[in-house]
Formats: sequence, C-alpha cells, structure tokens
Amino acid sequence: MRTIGTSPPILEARDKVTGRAKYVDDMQADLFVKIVGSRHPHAHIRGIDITAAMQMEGVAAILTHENVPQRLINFGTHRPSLAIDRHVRHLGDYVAAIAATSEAVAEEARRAIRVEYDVRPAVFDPEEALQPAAPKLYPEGNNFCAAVDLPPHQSIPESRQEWGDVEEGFRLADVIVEHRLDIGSQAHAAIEPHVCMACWEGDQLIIWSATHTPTELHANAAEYFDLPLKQVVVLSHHVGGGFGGKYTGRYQYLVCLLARQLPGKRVRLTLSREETQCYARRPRAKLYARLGATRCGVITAIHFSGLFDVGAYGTFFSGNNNFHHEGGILTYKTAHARFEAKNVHTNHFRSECMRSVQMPYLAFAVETVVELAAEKLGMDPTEFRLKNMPTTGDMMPPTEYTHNYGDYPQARLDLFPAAHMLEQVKGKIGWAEKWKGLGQPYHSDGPRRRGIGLAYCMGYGGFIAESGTTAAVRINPDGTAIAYSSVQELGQGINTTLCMLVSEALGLPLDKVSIVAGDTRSGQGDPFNARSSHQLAMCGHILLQAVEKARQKLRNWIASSLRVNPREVVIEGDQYWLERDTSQKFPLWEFVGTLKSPVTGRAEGAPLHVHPFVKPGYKAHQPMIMAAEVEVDTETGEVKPMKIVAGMFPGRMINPGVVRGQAIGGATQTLGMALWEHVGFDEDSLTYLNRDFTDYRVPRALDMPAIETVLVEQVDLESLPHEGLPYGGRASGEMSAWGAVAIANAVHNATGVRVSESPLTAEAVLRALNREARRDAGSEADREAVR
Amino acid sequence: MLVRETATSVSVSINGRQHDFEVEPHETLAEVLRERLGLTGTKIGCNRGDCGACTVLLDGEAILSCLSLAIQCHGKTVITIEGLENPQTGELDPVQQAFVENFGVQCGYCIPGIVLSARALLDEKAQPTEEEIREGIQGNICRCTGYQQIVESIQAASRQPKSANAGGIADTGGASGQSNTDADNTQSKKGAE
Amino acid sequence: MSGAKCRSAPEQTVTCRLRPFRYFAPTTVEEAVAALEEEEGRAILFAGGTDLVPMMKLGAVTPQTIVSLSAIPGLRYIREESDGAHIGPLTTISELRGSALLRQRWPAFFEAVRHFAASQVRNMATLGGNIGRRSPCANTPPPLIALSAVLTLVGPNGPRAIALEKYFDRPDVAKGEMIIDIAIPHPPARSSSAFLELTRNTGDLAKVNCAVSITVDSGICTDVRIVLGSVANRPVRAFQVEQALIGGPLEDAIVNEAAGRVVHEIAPITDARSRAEYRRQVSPVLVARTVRRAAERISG
Repeated sequence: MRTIGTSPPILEARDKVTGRAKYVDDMQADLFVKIVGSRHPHAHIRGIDITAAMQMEGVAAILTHENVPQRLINFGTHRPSLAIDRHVRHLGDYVAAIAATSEAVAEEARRAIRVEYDVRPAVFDPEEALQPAAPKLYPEGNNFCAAVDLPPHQSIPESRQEWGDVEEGFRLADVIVEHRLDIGSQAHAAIEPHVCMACWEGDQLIIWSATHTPTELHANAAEYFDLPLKQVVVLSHHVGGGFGGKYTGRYQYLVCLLARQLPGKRVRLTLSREETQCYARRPRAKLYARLGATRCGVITAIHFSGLFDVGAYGTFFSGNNNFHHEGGILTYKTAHARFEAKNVHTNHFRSECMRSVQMPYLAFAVETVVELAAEKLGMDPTEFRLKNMPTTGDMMPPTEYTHNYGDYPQARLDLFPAAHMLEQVKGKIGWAEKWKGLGQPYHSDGPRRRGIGLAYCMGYGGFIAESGTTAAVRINPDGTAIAYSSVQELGQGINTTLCMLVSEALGLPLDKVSIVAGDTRSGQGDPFNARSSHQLAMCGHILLQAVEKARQKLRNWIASSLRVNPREVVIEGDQYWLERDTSQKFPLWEFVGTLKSPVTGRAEGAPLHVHPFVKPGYKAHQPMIMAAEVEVDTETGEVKPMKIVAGMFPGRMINPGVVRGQAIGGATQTLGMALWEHVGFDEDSLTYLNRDFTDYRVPRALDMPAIETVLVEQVDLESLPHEGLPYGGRASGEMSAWGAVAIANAVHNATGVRVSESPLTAEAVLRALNREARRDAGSEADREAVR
Repeated sequence: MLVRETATSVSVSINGRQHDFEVEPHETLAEVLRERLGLTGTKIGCNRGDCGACTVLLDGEAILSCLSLAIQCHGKTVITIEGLENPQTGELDPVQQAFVENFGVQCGYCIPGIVLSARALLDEKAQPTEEEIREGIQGNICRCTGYQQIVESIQAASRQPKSANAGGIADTGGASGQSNTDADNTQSKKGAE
Repeated sequence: MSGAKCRSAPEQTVTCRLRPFRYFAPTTVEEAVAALEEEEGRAILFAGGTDLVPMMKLGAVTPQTIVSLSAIPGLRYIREESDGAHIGPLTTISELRGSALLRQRWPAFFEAVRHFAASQVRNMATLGGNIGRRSPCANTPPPLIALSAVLTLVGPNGPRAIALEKYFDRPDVAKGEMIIDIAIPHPPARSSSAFLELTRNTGDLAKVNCAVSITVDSGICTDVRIVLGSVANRPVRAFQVEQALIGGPLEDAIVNEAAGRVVHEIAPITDARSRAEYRRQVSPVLVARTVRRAAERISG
C-alpha cells in the first residue's frame, strides 16, 4: 500500500494553523441576528409588541409567531415544528428573531421587545412527564413522536428489541442481579458556537452553515421554501466541531426566513455560548438493567430498560433508537434478551445524539450488572466477559437491523477480535499487577485509594443505510484526480481519508488528489452526512465504486487505443497491462495524459431501506473496550483519573494519525462525561447551571491522565477493496466516547462503593461513600443490639 | 437607548504594522481585530474569557482579546495568528508547522489561540517539560484532540532551533519590554526564578 | 478590576457586545479617587478586566463609567522592605506567581496564585482586582488574611491603612476608595503557611479553599490563623478552630477535632460548583489538611 496506512497531515491543517480557514462566523455578513428566547419553561405567548424594536435605527426585520409561515419544518429525524410557535416549551424557546445592522443593535432591539405570556405548569422530570396528570407539551401527550408524520421506523415512542423469552432466561439463571442508574446530560460544547448565514440571491437560497447534515438541510430547506433543489445551495466547508450538536435545527430556518425579507443581504446568526450550551445535550436517562447467569458464568438473560428525557422537541437519537441500540443490544451472546427504551418530552431544551449516542447508556447499565453478576459468582469480571463475548463468525440474534430481506434472515458477525483486544487492553492498564478483585483497591495511602476498572461494548462498524449516498471522481489528463462527495468534514479528517482512498486506488500521489465536499453544488448527497461514524465505510465505499466506474471507462479508452477487447485490459493502481502478457506493464498516468478530456465515474448506493451487509450474510460491528485507573480521595470524594486505555477496532487505519486523534479525543469526552460534565437545572430559580465554560467543566490540559490506545487492525482479504469496507476501514469516530462506565467501575474497585449516577462528581462519590458508611454503621449497630 | 460615546484615536502595532484607528471604549480588541481589520484568525468561542480561542500576544504575553478593551492597547504590540508566518516567504512558524505534522489540528477552532499560547510558552522557555506545556495551554480548551497530539506538536516544535522561527515578528517589540505601562519596580515574570 | 467569577444573571441580560460606557484613564491616584467621588457609585475601577468584562457582558454589572487604572504609574511592583512585602495593586497574578520571594516566604499566597485560572488570565488579572471584586470564592484574600495583610486605601480623605480582614466586613468598606498597596508582614519565626482548595476539575474556581498561617514552637502551636473562602459571602476566619489549636500539640486527633468545629463558622450555599452539605462535610477535612501541611513546612 502506498498511501493507506501512512499518516499525512489533514488537508485543512495549514489553513487552520495560519488563520486562513474561514468559518461561517468569519465570513462577511450584512445583517446580524439575535433571538428572543422564552422566559418561561412552558407558556403560550399571549401577545408580543415589537413596535419599539422595529423603529430602532438599524433594525431590518423581526420574526414572531405572528409572521412566520404556519407550516411545519420537516426535520426528517425529530418532531417537526413551526419556525416560531406561540406555544413555547422550554426556557429560551424561540419567541422572536431580529435582524439588524450590527449585533449591538440587535441586542438593543431584543431588550425593547415586550412579551406577555400565559404561563403553564412545567414538567422537568421524565418520570413525572409520563404521568397522566403531567403538563402536556403536545395535544397527544408527552410521548415522543406519538402521532407525528414520520416514517414508521422513526416515529416510535418506544423501542423494543427482544429475542428468546427473558422470563424463561431468568428462570434458567442461578444468579440474578439488577441495578438502577441515573445518567446526567453531557453537552456537546464544541468550541465553535452554532452559526448559520443565509442569502437570497436572485432565485437562489444560499445557506452557509456549520452543520453535520448539509444534504438533509438542503432537502428540507428546499421543501420548506417550495424551491427546486437546484435553487438551494448549502455550503459547509469548515465546521468548528460538532459531536452531534449541529444537526439541522430551527435556527437555520429563522435565518433563512429573515434573509427572505431582505433579498441580497447576507444575514447571519451566531449563538452565544450560553445559547449554545442550552441548545441541545445528551438525554438525561433513568436506566434499569437485570442480568441472569448460570453458576458457570454464562449469561442466560439480559433485560435493559431506559427512560430518556428527549426535551421539548425530541431528537434524532430516539427517532432511531433501534439502530443506535444495536451495538449495545448485541454486546453479549445470550439466548434471551429484551431491550426497551421509552422517550418522553419534558420542558427542557432538546436532547440530541452525542458522540456514541446510545452506547454510553447501554454500557453503563449492562457493564454494571455484568460486574454485579461476576461479584456474586466470585468470578473475575474479565473472565465473565470473555465467556459471553461474541467472536468472529458468530450468528447474531435477529434484530431489526441484523436481518436483511432476501437470502439472509439472520446475519453473522464479521471480524470481531474482542478477545484479542481485551488481552491488549488488560496489558496496557496493568491488569496482572493491579487487579485485586472487585471492590478491592490495589493501593491505599491514607484516605486515597487506587483501583482499575474495565468495560466492554459493541459498536457499529460504520456500514449503514446507503440509499441516497452518492460520490463521483474525475480523472484529469493533467495527472490529478478530484473526488466529489457530500461527506461533512468536522475536523475528524474524513476529507483527507477519502482522498487517501482515491490515491491508493489510482496509484496517484496524495498531493495530486483533491476533494470537493461541503458544497451541495457537487451534486453528491448522503442522507446521514456526518452521523453515526459511517462516512468512511459508506461514503468511502461508494467513492471507490465511483473510482471503479471511472476505471472501466479508462479500460475502454485503453482497449480502443490498443484495438483489443476491454475485457483483456487490466488496470491496477497506476499500471495497466494486457491479460495475455503480464510481462509488459505500462504507466496508467502516461496514458491518461494523452486524453483530451477528463474521465469521470459516479456511483450511488443501492436503494435499500435497511442497513446493508459488509459482505453477503455478514454485519460489520466492532468490539470496544476501555480500561481506567483512578485514585479516589475517600474523604473528599474526588476522583483523579490516572490512566485510560481506549481499545477500538478500526479494521484498517487509513490514516493512523487521524484514527489515534479520534481515539484520544473520544476518550477525553468520555472522561468528561464520567466525572465533570452535566447541564444541571435549578427548578427554584428556573436556571440552567452550566451555561458557560466557567461552570460546564470540560477536560482541560492539566486534567488529562495518560491515554493509551489499542487500535486493532484486522482485514478480511475476501472483502477488499470495494465490496464492503474500503480497504477494511471501519468506523472510529465514536468508538472511544462510550466508556464512562469503565471509570465508574474503576471507582467501585478503588472504594468498594457503587455510584449509581453520572457524572461521578466528588459530591456524588462522597454521597455514595456516606451511604456505605451509614450502612456499615447500621449493621454494626444491629450487631450491637443483637449482642 | 444607545448612547454614543466619544471615539478615541489609538495606534497599535499589529503583526508588525502600525495601525491607527478610532475606537469607542466598549469595543474589545477581539472585535477590532476581527471586524475592523478582517483578521478573523482570532476566534470567539465563548466571549467570556473561558475558552482561550481569542488568545493573542500583547507585548509578547498571551492574553484574551475578548476581555481586552481596544482602547487600552494604544501603543502596544499585538501578534495574531496571521502574524506568525514569514510574510515574505509564507514559511510557517515552527509551532504552526509542528501542529500540521503532528495531528495537533482537528476542527481547528481552538488552534489560533492554542498556537499562540504555545508560541508564548516557547518564547519564555525553549525546552518546557510536559507539565509546563500543559500549564501553558491550560487556558485553551480543545474539545477535539484530548490535548495529547497538541502536547506532542509543542514538544516537536521545542526541538526546532530558535533560529528556525520563520516569523521573526515575535522577536520585535514583544517581550523586550516595550510595554508603556508603568514598569518601574515591576518584577517581570520573565526574570523570575 | 479582575477577580474570580461567581456569577448568576437573568437570561435576557446576557450579551455578546459590551454596552457603551464612559471611559476615563486617570494618570494619578488622586484623579482616580476624584472620578469615583464625582460619579457617586456609578463608576467602577478597571484593572485587568478579567472579572469585570464578563460581568458586564452578562449584564450583572452595568457601570456608567469605567475608571481605568492602567495609566497610573507606580502601582505595579513587588518589593521587599523591612516590614515585609509590599505589592502594588496592578501587579499581575503572573508576576506574583513568578516571584521567588513570595514563593519562599509566603507559600500560602504563592499556592493560591499558582493554579489561578490559566496563563492568559494571570497575565491580565491583578491583585488589587482579585481583592477589590469582593468575590467570596477569590483565591488571594484567604491567604492574605491568614498572613495578616494590610491594605493601604486612598479616598477623598486621603490614605489610610486597614487590615485586609476588615475590608471584607461589609461591602461598603472602602466605598470611594482605591487600594494602592498590599503589605504582607514578614512571617514570625517558626511559622509557615499553606493553601489548599477543592475544585471540580483543574483551573476551576474553588468549591472551598483554605489558607493557614501557623507558628509552632517545640511542638506546641503558639499561633494560628485559618481562613476559608467560598463557604460564606466573605472570607471566613475560623476562630473556633484556631482557639482549639492554640496552646496544644498538633496531634492528629486534636487537629481533626479542632477542624471539625469549622462547620459552626461557615454558611455554605448550593450553587453550580457544589452543594452546601458537601461543603460542610469537606471543610473540616480541608482545614485539617491545610493545618498539617503548613506545620510540616516549619523546619527544625
């Protein structure tokens, strides 16, 4: 391989280190937008007075619920809504949007707008929201998507996957354990706040957006504004981080609506940090898991149940519960399982997918009961896991996404080197020296205890729905190639990775390959864009098919110039030859140089509505394992992370430097989720407590423990390079952001105490230690009493 | 009602060139750099002084431009990210080059600020320990990299000889005590043990 | 003025742009004091701005006039004199942190500034600001009070000296006055000091912080000053703890019992950083640890 497996810098690096890269907030704009947000978490707007604001010098336009179209925005993945609704459902929900000649004027105008509310009772807890007497966010109630116009597989208020019979499974068990957890809500907190600019130029709507989902925004905006697709352009070249927070949202439509009133003007909205922090977050969740096992440690049943607070407007997360569940559901082999999730609205701002989506929740619940079971059985928890982990070739249980119609009602697991990864991760965390048993620290020093912990989960392999994914490549006589794709670069290196695929496939040096992406005028699309870590596997796969199509055309040209049948021509990398005479190989690019015009190839994904196989009958998934070492101060509850080992299975690392960056970056967000990050809410003052970086504590440079990575490479030579995964490359973007439970397990092993909430702040840990101390004191008192 | 206050003339050296302009007292340095001068390399991540994305060098020291009043920069020297590369040859400063080569860059939004913090750190101490590097970038949040490859980038840059500093601008009028605020009896941190 | 950020503000006042204000850059202390008097409480002294500017953007502070101190010469120094250290109010936290004198002679003070925020903030923030913003979670007041620091204030009636502790008695102490010097007396023989804090993660404001200055002679504690921050609306002297320690040996049991009395002297709240009950539970732990750390430093 000449390019695959090397680590060239990402294409955008130079522009970014010089300050040349223009993000949307850096671009020239004419008018600036500020949003008036609701002061009440639940209310109807009785009246709004914008006269004073409209009269201010510099105010160009104001939107309210009275003048926006009475047409629902179809997001495709969460509840449709009006651009501004007189029914406001969370603090900061949209009441008005102002466009003015400067941000200062817009802020001044915001202060001059008078709103009268009919305040309604609000509900903030998902369990309360389920009660029949709870305040209703929607006429049909608070179940997410209960009666909305979405495709069937996305509109489920609850999701449920089961196989076998869990009751029977529990009857077969020698030990049964269960646990409940309360998971806090992490926020995406990308350094670039949400931003969108729009301009109606002639008959075109041009949108500059820092977004994950340009294809979706393109299609939905065209539909909303009754425009043919060719009259809408979405440009999303540089995005300052996403992690799931920048999917298509209502704010983009507010900008487009304002811009429509001001043709020819570039109208831009940049959310403040406070608005960004209160835009979307991971759902708060109440989890329950129950596990049954034989006395030899074989799992007989798993029951997982989760209640997810999706906020007032819902989320892609829950709309596609089943897909995202899939990894967590299939983590262990078991004949009987039930996984169910209920999604409910509350008067909080939206919940949204965040890196690794459902996996942290499933892992938190399942990896806790796994350890409880191992404890009860007196088994080493890694032996228990090893006993129940699937491996390459195992038949997977029939879930919605593992079966395909046609010849394969059930799929087998593609490459799955879980045991190998476990051994490597254990080695790097020092399991042999430091493992003293569940709940046993390996080192004590005064009040400080050190312990290690581990967790495992199954992640998706990147191979998901391909219908609507397209790509093209253009081979130029000047010896260069251009790829066209709708992959969305967020800094994760996908543009560079795709160029490396083309470079490898065509035997062309990487500096001769470029990519057109982040621009819907490329004519390419992908329904998911930068979601679900699928861009390498899917868009890369389709791009290689496009390369193959271009190569076919080249074969035809070569054959015609040699007066042979195209079937006799072989092209591989940067050489071609005739099948009958392999001793004479010719430089491909010399031939390309003789052409008078470029050769192009275009490919599109098959119109399947379920997720395809990596190769017939096989699903790509991957083991993910994380280990952590912590030191807990039992007098203060403080948890100091000492080391994290992140195990992933990228299959084949197209660019190892990029993959390592994803592994470490994801592990860092895991650390934040485990220990510090939560958007808290004070019901008395109706305030979100963590609205800025002073109070929303993301990991900083001095917080970081040593992070080591175990990046396993294994490739199935039969499925190279264009069938299934491109050169064997699998998903890696989200595959280290799931493992907060590994840190929780380490805290348990250091202290003997389980903290059943996240984040494991010092307050939470001390509460758990206090409870344990009271319980010990209580049993001591009981013993005293008995004596 | 918006009250218009008197604008004041200031003269500031920015990336080696003298700039004279009028500012109102409430304008921040970040706003002037980005909006007046089109130097959009300096980013606004939070506008509250928490994230470090707006970091620039003021008289050689890393400061937060979103919290600095432009009016107080009169007579001072500012280096932004645009001022690090060699203006004639386009050659990158060793810190910039090291970030490119060592995967210090992902989404890039923290990069201008963190590169300048690293530049200031290396200007003060050419061979920092890893702990010192992390202290030097503690004021810059990166949400993408987990800091490891950033630390490695700065370590790589520190192994470059100082003469490889392509920009050279940081050497002029920066740390050499051009501050026109009262420096009498000041215990400069650069002279500290 | 700069200082720690403990803020809360109603949603609607949060802005990205500062609202206009009048700006005055006096060149003498007298001019600054005169400006404060003229504006009758609508003017705010401005040094580094690291606390004030965010507060203004949040709408929590809305000054009509900013009186910038940066043009006044002679306010930025760290000097060792016969009576101790004298520090100018515009001395930056970076400069304090870089001072070998402070590190060796007054370790509690050095430790309080060592991990203060991050380098950019330290380059801008000033000691005068950190004191003057009167934030209950500021890091410099507890060690300075423990070390018996004295402020020189200048007001319309001229200069006066005031123990730093007294400065925090009421918010209106020093109304219309400006800090022009912070003096830390030489520590007595056989004494040392220490500072510890609990934070959520690194670079954070304190949930609880504690500074101790202690004198130990032949194993007996002859004097101790213990000050906590972030557990009340002002820095708190833990008098009951001090009384329980003075005159006795610093054995573990005695220190722990004494430290436990701190709960009667603090009034912690629940806020974004921590909970009242947590602060109550960990305050004795922090006090005991800080006392021990300070005592360990006394050599011989």
